[in-house]
Amino acid sequence: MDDKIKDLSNEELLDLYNVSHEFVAFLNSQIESFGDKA
Amino acid sequence: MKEKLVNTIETEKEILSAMPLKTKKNKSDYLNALKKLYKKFSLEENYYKNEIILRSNKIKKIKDNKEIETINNQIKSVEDNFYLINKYLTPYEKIGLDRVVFGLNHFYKDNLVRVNKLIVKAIKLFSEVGINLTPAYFDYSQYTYEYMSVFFDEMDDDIKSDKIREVFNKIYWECPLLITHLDLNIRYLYLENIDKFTKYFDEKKKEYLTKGNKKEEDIIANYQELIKKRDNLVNRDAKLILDSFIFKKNNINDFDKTKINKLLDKLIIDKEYYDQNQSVVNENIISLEHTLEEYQNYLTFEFVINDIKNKFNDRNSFKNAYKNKLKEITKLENNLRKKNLKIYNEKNSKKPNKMLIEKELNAIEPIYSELNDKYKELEVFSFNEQIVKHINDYSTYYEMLSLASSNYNYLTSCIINNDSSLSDDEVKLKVYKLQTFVNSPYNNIINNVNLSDNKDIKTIVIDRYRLLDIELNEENMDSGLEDLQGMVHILGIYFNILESRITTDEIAFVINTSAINSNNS
Repeated sequence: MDDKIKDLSNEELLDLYNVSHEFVAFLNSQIESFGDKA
Repeated sequence: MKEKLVNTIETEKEILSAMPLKTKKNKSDYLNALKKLYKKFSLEENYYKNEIILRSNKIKKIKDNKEIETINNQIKSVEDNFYLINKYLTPYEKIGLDRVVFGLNHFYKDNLVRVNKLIVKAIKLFSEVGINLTPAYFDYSQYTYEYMSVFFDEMDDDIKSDKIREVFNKIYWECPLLITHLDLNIRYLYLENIDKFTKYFDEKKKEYLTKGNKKEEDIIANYQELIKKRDNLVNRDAKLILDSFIFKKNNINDFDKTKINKLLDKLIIDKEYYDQNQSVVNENIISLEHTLEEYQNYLTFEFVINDIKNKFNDRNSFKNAYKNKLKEITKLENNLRKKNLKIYNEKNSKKPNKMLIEKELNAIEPIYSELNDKYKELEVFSFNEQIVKHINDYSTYYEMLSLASSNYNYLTSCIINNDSSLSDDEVKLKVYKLQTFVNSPYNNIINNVNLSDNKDIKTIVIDRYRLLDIELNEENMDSGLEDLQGMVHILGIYFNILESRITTDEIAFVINTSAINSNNS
């Protein structure tokens, strides 16, 4: 994976970060809201 | 890779959405699934984040170009001595007495400390040419002598001292025009010693030229080369370019390739020619930026050129005016001296006649006002003399503006006459702008148009650049000038980036990831 990441263009890298960051934020909000219910 | 990640996330989201949430156990399972995914994707997010930080820091790790600092020091060293070879400056301006007198005339109303600082400056300037002033030199009136006697005692310790303030307050009620008297005294002392000032600067200039073994024209040419070299280095320096985006002087969105192409479409006449000669046309666009700046400066300071033209056309009317005014001043000052001596003798007699002293003091006060007016006229005539000496039918606009920018008193009056709404700071800024304009190595228009020309400068610029495949016309050089300058400025920066060691992609990456990077620190 390390080799692959080096081959990414700046734009691709930023895209991957944004997609994963958005999903992590989604998961975090879900955990916060379900943490109380569970 | 992005597509794969998006698909994975979509699948995970679908699985999550299909999970039952009815019972407490369902909810607990759902929460555990969320946590598991959170752990996995946080790792992935951090993995990308670390690479982003690594790349961004690598781009930002550009060293300062030491050569820029070296050239800046060389430029400063030439500038510090520029006044010595400026033929338009009289010793009065070279030493800086024009600024002192200007200050005394402008600050007298609001700030005694400022006035006193100017007097200290004047004393130091005289001392620089070897004239060590004492109270005895300030005998223009009994008030100047009285004030300066205390001033010289106190000035080395504290120009804000109580003694100075007290003596000023005491004299002020007897003579509200004390500062005008001091101003006249300083002007008188300069004229009395003008030969010493002239000799001092002649020797200084000689020493400067001998030391560097240079000619005046070589110094100017070398200075202009240094400025060009420095500008080139600065404009193409990767660190300075990146900083201009980090500190928001420039916006990376303006440098998107599509936007740049749109600007080029507006500016280029023959696209085919451009495609074959890109680097040449790009250089021409950079040079157009200088030309537009020069043209705009020319428009800003056209009123100064016109004023000098008018004065030049009127030159016969002020023939001998300076000489005659000087004679009038000398005659009045001799008269003043006699009257002051009379007052002095009466004051120091065994039985001073107070009535007579008062009468004489009242009688001489209008002479000071008259002298004040005459010295101001003398200053104007002195500048007129400079016009006669340096300007002829074939003098270029550059020479006319250089002469104007060398005479602070004339220039400030001219600027204020043109726009009386300007504040003191705005006037100062205009003076500075003209000086920078005159010293610019990129001037072509003002160096080649002379007083007798009736050239249409706008048309010359338009024709010149159309020949170089650049679309200039009456409209964009007139009401659209500001937009045109903005457009050319962006292109200029873009071409300089192309010549630098940083790319727009790298700049965009640093700017667009700055929030990610700063969250880390």
